[in-house]
Amino acid sequence: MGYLWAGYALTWVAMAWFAWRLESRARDAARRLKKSPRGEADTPAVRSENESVRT
Amino acid sequence: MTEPTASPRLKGWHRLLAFLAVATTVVGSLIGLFVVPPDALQGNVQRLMYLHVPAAWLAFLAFFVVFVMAVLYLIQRDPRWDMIAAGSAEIGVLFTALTLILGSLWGKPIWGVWWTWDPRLTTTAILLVIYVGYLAVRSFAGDPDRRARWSAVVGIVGFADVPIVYLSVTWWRSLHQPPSSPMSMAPSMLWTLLLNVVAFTLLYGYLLVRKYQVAVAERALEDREAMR
Repeated sequence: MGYLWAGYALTWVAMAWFAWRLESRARDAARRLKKSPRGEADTPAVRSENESVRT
Repeated sequence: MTEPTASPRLKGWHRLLAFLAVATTVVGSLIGLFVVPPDALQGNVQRLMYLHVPAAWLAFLAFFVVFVMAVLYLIQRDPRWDMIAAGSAEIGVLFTALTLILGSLWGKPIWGVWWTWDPRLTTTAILLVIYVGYLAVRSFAGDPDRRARWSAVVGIVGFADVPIVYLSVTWWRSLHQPPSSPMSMAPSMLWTLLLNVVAFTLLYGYLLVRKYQVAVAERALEDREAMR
């Protein structure tokens, strides 16, 4: 049974870690986009994407 | 180059996909661990199949997506295809690593060894090395266009290993069992396996949508910093 539980625990931890890391990056990108000074790249499309990452 | 944008239709999708992925994973795992009967010969350790097989199938799907996106990128030079390919490759590496580790945990009590240079295991390990190489190429190439071009070539050439992995158990004498068919499995095991495949597919969908959104946002930041 040890091999079975090790396999399930490892899978859940790996998935959760990957998703958590991704959500951290999403939050960081949204925060940096918000702070970033407006320039030519600050188009409606970028603002829309900024909103998309935040939600 | 045009600035990539995520489709507005992707907004909010990751939340729905995340919820569905967690729900199906929990239900699939509970059924796989406690409801479906154990294998008559292998006992409870066979329940690792409900993770090992979906992880392997989704790794194949992830690398197929890399292949298609790489071809599209080389034809259209649209950075969105490159972002999707990069995200899918990273998720594929996760699933391939899980496939190998879960297979090892299953192999030790059944075969008596953690690892053997069996054709299926060896070609899967090569697959992992190829796509870790893909990610390494992306981190080495600084220029976004060059990075996308080089990694697209690796993504197309590397995909050749996927059919080799799949067919390795029929081409060569292998310790690994050949692919099971619905006819060779008990219906309860088959449905549990399919439920877990659905769970992994939803998880893949969530991770890919989120990776794409993050890549678009980070690219926008890079562009803003470059214009300063």
